[in-house]
Amino acid sequence: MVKKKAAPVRIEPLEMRHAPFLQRYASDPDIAAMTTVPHPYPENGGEEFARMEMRKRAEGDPFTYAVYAGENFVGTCGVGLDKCNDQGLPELGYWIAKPFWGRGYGYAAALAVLTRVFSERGYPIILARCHEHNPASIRILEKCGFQPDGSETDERGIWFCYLLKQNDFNRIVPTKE
Amino acid sequence: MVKKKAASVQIEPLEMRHAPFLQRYASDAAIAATTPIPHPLPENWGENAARRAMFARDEGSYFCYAVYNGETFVGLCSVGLLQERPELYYFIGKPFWGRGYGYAAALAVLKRVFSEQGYPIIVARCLTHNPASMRILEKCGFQPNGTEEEERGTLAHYILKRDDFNRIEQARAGKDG
Repeated sequence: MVKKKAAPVRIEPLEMRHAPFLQRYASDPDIAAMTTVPHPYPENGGEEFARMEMRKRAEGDPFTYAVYAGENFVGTCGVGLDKCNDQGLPELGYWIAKPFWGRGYGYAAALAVLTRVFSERGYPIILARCHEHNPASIRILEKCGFQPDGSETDERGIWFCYLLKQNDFNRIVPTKE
Repeated sequence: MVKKKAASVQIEPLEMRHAPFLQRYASDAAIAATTPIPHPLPENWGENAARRAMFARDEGSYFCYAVYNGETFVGLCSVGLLQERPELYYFIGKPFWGRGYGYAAALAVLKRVFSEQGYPIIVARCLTHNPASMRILEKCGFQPNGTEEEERGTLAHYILKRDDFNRIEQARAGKDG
């Protein structure tokens, strides 16, 4: 059995120059529907997000990235310490811009970010949450080695929770040859 | 001067059967005001917290205890490595405030975790508008270690060295005996 390789993506620390891309793609209601991105997206939402992530980087919480496939900005992916989860766990978050859906970029980005984070930090466990109507995202998490961990309900529906042990990730995802 | 002894509490590893107590006491706005616990509390927060605590205990990264006074569940106290450094967390249910349970629970958990895990240091954070919690940390031997501004106020950082804790413990035991 030949296993498909992850699509090639590159991750770059998120900066102000990415703000116009964030603004353009995060304004899509289909992004807001599956994430905690607000809709309608504020006029300066991209700038605000980039500025906030740069501030967090300066404060030692640096793992939010712009995701590129070749020359194209295709989305954002990161692991953060302050994503409003109350368990004290670092949390993985991402979205891929709608024109680039269905090409495996989300999985590739999550793999790249998790690999970077685990190599630089000793987090034993990372949390992720995804909306019940987002099977593509559930697949990404499961392929990365996340295990289901119950759910949370709010006015937007059910959010499935997932946990990833660093040990499981290292076992599932082979290190670079 | 007669120094009051720590209130009597027992600690038990957190399990699913404690979830309803977590849910009941963590849903109080007064708890949310000084901890990262959300308000209003999601419906199954207690269950999720208990299950994650057990998951992370298996992983060897989180040591979470239910705190009892006699037959009564009064709160939660834990030490977790979730963000790399072992950190002390606790909350006492509002009906049980002002009786020294927080201090007694922190002492019991620190003692157990230092002796079983051998961490050289444990850190803690608390909001400066939570003087009761600052007193608990200072009585346990935590030293101030800078502050951080966040949305809810100033977060004081503390650090406790195992050697300092053991020295203070010995002095304490001497007085009691």
